[in-house]
Amino acid sequence: MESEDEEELVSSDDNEKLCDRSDTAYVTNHLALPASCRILVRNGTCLYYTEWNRKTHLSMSKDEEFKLMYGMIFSIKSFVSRISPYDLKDGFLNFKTSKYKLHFYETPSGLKLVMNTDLTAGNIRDVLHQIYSNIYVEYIVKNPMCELGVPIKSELFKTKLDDYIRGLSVFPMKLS
Amino acid sequence: MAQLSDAVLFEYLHIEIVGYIHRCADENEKDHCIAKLESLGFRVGQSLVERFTRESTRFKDELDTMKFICKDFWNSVYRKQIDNLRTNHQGVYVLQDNKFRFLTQISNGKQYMDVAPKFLAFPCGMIRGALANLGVNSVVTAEVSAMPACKFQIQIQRT
Amino acid sequence: MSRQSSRAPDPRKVNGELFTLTYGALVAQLLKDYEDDDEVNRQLEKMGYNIGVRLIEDFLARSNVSRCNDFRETADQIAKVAFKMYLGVTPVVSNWSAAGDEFSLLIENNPLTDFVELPDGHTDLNYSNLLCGALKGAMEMVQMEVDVKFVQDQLKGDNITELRLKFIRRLEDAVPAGED
Repeated sequence: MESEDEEELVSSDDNEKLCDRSDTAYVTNHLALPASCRILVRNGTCLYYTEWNRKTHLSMSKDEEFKLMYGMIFSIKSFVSRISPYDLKDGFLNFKTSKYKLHFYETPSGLKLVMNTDLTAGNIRDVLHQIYSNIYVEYIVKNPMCELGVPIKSELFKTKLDDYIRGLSVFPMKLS
Repeated sequence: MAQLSDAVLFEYLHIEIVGYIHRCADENEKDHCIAKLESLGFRVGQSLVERFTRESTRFKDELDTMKFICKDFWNSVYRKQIDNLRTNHQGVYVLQDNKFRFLTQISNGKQYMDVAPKFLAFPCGMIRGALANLGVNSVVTAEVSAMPACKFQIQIQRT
Repeated sequence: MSRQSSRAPDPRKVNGELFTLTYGALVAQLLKDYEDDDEVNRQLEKMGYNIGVRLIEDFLARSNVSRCNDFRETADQIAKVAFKMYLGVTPVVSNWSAAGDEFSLLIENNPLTDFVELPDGHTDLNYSNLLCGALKGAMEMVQMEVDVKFVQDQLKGDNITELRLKFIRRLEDAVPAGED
């Protein structure tokens, strides 16, 4: 399990800037505190981005950041599958720097969910799967007004995702 | 007979039918599209009700027929019952569905409000078709003020 | 009260019939809108494609399957899981090509064609062509381009309904700008 599914990369300064969460005051019960979530499709388009308590923002535009993110994930994915001695079932799941943890979930249809959290988060694959199956599929795929593969505009989706994340027991009450 | 087991397929098919009917019409033919969808729904409602009532006895009165639409018919098509049924006792019935299946995924309020009529024409036709087959002639319209709630108004046509 | 129960059949069953009846009404409408059977086939395939690309997400969300390793595994998933889940039937996978890139789905009771008789003069109509489109659309989303067509159809008097699937190529993730 450890060696096959979890990849830990050494932190690099560049990565740290993406999401710096140096304080852990909001963390309860040693669980994860989601900082941001994004949904990408196979061609690298970012369908949706949202953040809850991200502390640092880059000087670059969101578009630039998405491109960097997609490039990085693309490289890690191919790196991980190349060095693995086995056929990967789930592929790469997450990595940690000294400041944050990035979680990755990809469906066989190529939809990629990326969530950044603080370092205390365990495996949140379940959370990402729930977002996919109960929120994305339910409110985007089944919504005739939502074209697939283009940025998400549905208010209903935004509300449901936000409610779901805020409803997780790990989400601190303090946050507005 | 083989049994199809999933409601989601019907929902996707309905979305495609709405899309198809609107694809082959231009902007000023909107009313025409609604009418076309309504008549497709009519045909489906008509044949569907036959599947139900094969062995059953006739309904005792109009209200009894309406209750059938609100309960059994609605449950089979949308997997839930109508939340509220009202009548003025003069041939007008209002069926309220607080979470209408075809709207629950579209919006929780006013977003995309302009498209709601497209997705209600077929269901209106289905009600009219079902009633017609049970010997009740009617005109059925739908009204939405905030999705996913929807009111279907049935006006009985007596001749 | 007993009357009440006699008029309420199993909602799941009626829901399946609802799909079949709605599909029938759609085909009837298309036959009215287009004179040419081929055009009707094309429209059905197009709608099927649109359904397939959405349905696959629903399928993946529910079944939580991971990526198939080869085309044989894919064939099994389609027949034993997907067809069963959505159409309530399990086609037989057979007639593999020597190269393993082509197979047939044999369907005994195609639920789309319950209550259906093909109208006269529509010999070129593939009544259930929606299925071809749906399979193509769904497979494309899991990065496989396939060709799907009917080779036999019980509606046309054949003993069985046979769908032929041919693997064409694998579709890859887009490479990020600035990399090869």
